[in-house]
Amino acid sequence: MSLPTSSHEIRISTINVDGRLDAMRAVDLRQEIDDAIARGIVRLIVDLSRASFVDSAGLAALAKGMKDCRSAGGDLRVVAATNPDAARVFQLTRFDQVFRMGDSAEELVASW
Amino acid sequence: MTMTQAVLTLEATYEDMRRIGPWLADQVGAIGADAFAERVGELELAVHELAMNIVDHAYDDATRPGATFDVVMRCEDGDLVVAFDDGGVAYDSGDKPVIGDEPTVRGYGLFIVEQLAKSVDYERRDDRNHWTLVFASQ
Repeated sequence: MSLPTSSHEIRISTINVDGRLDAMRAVDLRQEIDDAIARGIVRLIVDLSRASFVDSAGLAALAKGMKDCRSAGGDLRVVAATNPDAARVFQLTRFDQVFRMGDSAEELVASW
Repeated sequence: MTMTQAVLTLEATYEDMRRIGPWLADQVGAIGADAFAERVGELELAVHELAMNIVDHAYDDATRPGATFDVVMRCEDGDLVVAFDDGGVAYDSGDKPVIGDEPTVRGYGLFIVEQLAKSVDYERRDDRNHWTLVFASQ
């Protein structure tokens, strides 16, 4: 006898940030996040493993994105920067304890 | 030959902020501050954040086009001193967000600078803003 089943699909998108995440590119990141949420994708990963520099504007874009994703029932998680110049702003502001962070996108996908 | 100071004139644009890192890397040795050569990354973040504060708050959409400000770096008693001189509106310390337990979305620029520099001083003089960051040798 077959049992009724239903399937569920979780959509997760990864946004890759190569190079600098500063005030100029923070605008692009905000747009990517807004576009994803508008498409109904509220579980986002921002991969900073190849970022070379992150400033407070980049951090603000991530924080706003996280807030918007969580308001929509999802979350924004961050692949940690490996470059010290990109990781520094997270450590100084303790935002590395605010975001759910991981060492890879695969690790964060599995966290959902 | 060691120069006594290095000067960078920046346009008040986000794009021109990207000149700060290469300038620091290039000039730290030229002014005899070799002890700071390995710390260019943290120096860049501090100088960048203060410069961004100038772009965002000393100027507005009407006054920003064409505006420039100077960043001057020198050694003093073993410390690295980075001074900023801009002709924008006076800094209002009352506008500084309070950093607390609740993660705020904006306003971390000066907080970051204060974490990285030994001292951060501001003076309004002759209708100009003068910021001075001092980085201690380690």
